[in-house]
Amino acid sequence: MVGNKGIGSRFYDGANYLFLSVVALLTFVPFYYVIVASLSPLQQVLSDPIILWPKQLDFKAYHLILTTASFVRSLYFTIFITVIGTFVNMLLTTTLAYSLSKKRFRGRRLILMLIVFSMMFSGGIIPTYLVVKGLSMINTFWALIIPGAISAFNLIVLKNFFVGIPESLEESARIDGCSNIGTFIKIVLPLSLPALASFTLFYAVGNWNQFFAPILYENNSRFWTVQVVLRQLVILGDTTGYGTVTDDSTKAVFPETLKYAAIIVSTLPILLVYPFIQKYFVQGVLLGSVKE
Amino acid sequence: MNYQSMQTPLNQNAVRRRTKKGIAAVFQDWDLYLLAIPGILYFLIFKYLPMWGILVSFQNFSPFLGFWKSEWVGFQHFAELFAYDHFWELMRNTILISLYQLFFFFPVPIILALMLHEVTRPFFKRLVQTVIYLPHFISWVVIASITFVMLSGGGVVNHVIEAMGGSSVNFLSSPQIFRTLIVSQDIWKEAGWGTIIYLAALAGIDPQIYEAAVVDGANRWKRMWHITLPSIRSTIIILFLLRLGHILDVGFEQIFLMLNSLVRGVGDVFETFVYQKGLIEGQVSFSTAVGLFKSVISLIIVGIANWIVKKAGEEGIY
Amino acid sequence: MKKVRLAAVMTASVMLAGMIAGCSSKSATSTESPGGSMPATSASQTPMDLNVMFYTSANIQISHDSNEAIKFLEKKFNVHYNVMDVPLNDYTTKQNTIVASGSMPDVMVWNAFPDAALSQYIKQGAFAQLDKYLDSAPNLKKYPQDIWNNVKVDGHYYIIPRVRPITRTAIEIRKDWLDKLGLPIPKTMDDFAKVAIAFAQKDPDGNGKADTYGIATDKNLGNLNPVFAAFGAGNGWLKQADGTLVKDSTTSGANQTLQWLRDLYAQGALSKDFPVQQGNARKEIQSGKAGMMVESYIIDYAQDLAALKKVDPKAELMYIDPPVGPTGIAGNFAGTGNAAGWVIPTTTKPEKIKKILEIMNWEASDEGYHFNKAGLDGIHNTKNADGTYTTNDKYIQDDIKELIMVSPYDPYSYVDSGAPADVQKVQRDALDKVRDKGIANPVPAFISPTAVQKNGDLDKLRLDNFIKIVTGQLPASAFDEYVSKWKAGGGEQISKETNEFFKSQGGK
Repeated sequence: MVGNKGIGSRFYDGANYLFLSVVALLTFVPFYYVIVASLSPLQQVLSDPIILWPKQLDFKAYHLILTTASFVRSLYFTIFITVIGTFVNMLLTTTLAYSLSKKRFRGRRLILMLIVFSMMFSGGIIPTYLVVKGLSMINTFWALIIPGAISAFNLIVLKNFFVGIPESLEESARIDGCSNIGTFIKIVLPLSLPALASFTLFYAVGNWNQFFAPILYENNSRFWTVQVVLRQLVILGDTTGYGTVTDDSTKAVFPETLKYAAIIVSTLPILLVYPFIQKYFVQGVLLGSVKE
Repeated sequence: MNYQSMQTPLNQNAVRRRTKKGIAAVFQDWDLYLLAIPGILYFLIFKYLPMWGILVSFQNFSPFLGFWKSEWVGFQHFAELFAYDHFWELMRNTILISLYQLFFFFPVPIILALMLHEVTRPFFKRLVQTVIYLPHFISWVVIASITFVMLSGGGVVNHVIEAMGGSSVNFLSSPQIFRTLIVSQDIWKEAGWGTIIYLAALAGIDPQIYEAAVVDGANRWKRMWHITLPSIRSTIIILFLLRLGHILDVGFEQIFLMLNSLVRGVGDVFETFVYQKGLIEGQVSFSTAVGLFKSVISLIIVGIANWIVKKAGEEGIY
Repeated sequence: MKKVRLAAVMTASVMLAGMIAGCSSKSATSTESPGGSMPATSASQTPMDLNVMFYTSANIQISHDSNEAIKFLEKKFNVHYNVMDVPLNDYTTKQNTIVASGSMPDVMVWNAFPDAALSQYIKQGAFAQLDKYLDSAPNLKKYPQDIWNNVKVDGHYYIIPRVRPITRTAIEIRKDWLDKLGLPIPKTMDDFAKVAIAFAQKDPDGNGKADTYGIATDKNLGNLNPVFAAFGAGNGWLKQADGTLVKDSTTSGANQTLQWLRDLYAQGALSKDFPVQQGNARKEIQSGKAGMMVESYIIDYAQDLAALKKVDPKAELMYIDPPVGPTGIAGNFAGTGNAAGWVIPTTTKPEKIKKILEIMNWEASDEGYHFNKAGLDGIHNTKNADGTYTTNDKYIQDDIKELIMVSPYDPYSYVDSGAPADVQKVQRDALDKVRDKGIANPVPAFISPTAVQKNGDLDKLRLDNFIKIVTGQLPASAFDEYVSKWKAGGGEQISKETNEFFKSQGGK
């Protein structure tokens, strides 16, 4: 990042760093609470409002989650869904967004209007269910991938990014005889890496956090995703008079610590993936490499 | 010097001269249309095929009888909605919370992104980015719990206030504070995550433009004003338009959790109203009618806004 | 403009296609078989395919192939048992969607009764009438007549109840706090008030901080019914001397209750933050903040105690009798005796209905109950020297408790069989004490048509007014205003309809 290093600039820098540090701190403090609470003994979580540090490192909540067979199974399944799902998401979204970013696409305006319309007007749960059923996707893993394949929001924003790529770059390729698809793959996609990285992240997180579709479209627990399992675990201790008798009340369900541990567990995988996406946010490098 | 022009696309006319008219144009670009087919099919099948569901708002829809056999009641549900004696309250609450979010929440990710963009040390930048993304993953249930621990009458903040000699503040039961509370929670949870899109847009700025500007003697502020901001202008506009499309959708789960008898007057919105009715009635039709009502209003607003945007020469959402 | 017309035509045709598609899926009568392997059919009759749908609150993913309990049931009844286990959370949406889908399971749990949607579906012919099938299920008929009466719809049986003790709550109180403050066990409303205030003001947990209070409730003003009952408000509806019914929330008893609560709140005996509370009343007891839970589900006792002991190892919880009101009334609320139940869609073939009832009948027998509580001897449990059985891990893994559809009526079913013996005794004794003494709703299974429309709003009206009266935001006299608003907002009509129904049932 170029810039002169005069006094004004340094002051600007300093203020910037300070402000961002404050923001980061404010943001992190409650999350810190979540981490610490998930590791504290139940007694401490129930009685003390703020916890600076666990009185004792208590891994029971994590132990309960990680040793629940259904959790482990759902982990594998959710990874599977996330990988395939995100791939399908990106494939469909980028292709449509690119085509719609070209002004010469006949019917472009109409299609975009219809897409925007569909963002605001939706048939609802039951009609969509009937379509999914009609396509024989009920009780298959496809129901967790196809019905949500394209997010109109992501599509429109991505289209916008594609529009911002100078036509001149594509022109040079077309003059050399490259087809539309070729231009798309060889020129446009590499130039859009930051945007593609963002949407991949959005879709991946969305797929990872799915919990309603598995309940609605699947009829059997083998399709439970991580979120479904975690919510089940937390529910166990939160209900009153549901007639659920536990088999070992000394292992008394502790929904408080469980709630917090559940968040950490479901966040961790994304945090692990994120660094790989980070590097695509480096500014300008790739644009410069594809000069006209 | 207009730095924007350094990135303006070539004159469209030059491009058009090489294309043919009419149906021949489609054949020339056949592979472009091929690319679009899967996506278009998706929308047709999963968004338009089920759209008959909207008509359900004119029926007393019974899931068992299905669409063809359910009784038609015309505008009865809408009449019921408008006749509800707290209808205007719901409307006002929904609009106010939406406007608060538009004015206070919307700019925050942009500002944060701009600030992050100015950071040169990669480690600091990455650290801050990761941290501000974290709240996005925390569920509203937990956020509501934490808010309660912090702001309840016997909570942390009030302890501190009382220790300093003040009297405790009713953060959670005060109608005056409710909207601010909701938007603050939202900012805390989602503003960080919202910077991602803007950072992606900022990453696409050619560093050579900045270099040229420095050579011309532009300082930090001038560079931000003349280069950075205009580069993300279209992204901001698009996101703004998209947000307008959901102007009447204020997060159900969050409000439901924070709602209580003492703030219901300012906090009850369409979704919470429908939820309460739906629990007892079990009927799909009423909630669909309310949804339709909201959608029509959103459509009008987006339509107007998009028109304005295009008149100003920008790329709209359609 | 041609484009807009084109768009309109396109949209309309796609929608039409959708509607037609949505329509034709209705005709499917075959039931789906969601995976699972078909066992070898060596018997002369092929095993009958049964799709059983229910909600699960456990975290076991019931797997068909390694489940011994399922294998046993399949062999015994010659069926192929397909389990459709759905998470508890969104079951309501799921059950309504399944009704719309056109392919319903053979038997499914309906998670609420009475339920407006269910009544509607029954009227529309979605679920089978089970009267004649019940004749060959003697064990099911053994359920208390009250419970069967409570699940009748239009005089017939469509739902097989999952029976529970009719009265299942009691007053839970911190015995150690009573002892520490030298207080006797409270009996009258005044006693309870004194104790509640003392719990708040006299530091019963001895930690020098004013962090305790008397009675736990939440932002829905829940778990307080015995107080309303003691002041004579009734359960749902109060039968008056002249035989008419009056809505409980509009009685003078309710008014008195609110004054009593208001008084307590002003003195700190209720949590200052209860109107904005996140979390339920149970948490307040478990965290050692509240001294009493006036309506605690006896089944929760074991867990409450275990959690509480983690916070305060010296804590003692006990159950006591409900408070006696100024006119001598005392009691816990009596429920309908069911946790909703099973319905059978009309798409299920008669021989399958017979089979389902055969299975249920067995499950309601002693032998079936043993299977429910202990599984298969030697596989799911080990027999102890004293003749009792201890269940093992396989029992939990096979999730037999949820696999079982029904159980015999067992007033002790709310005893936590995984708890230590002394804890179980407390639960057993409490269940004994409250049995048959509950205050019942005179019309438990009735939802009036106007109620279907208006209950949402009326409930909000009630809650908001009640809470504001208790916290002092509204003056005590606001109660009368509430009553007139209630009547004007549909309550008058509901009252009429309910009274008509009540008379038609004999007015008892």
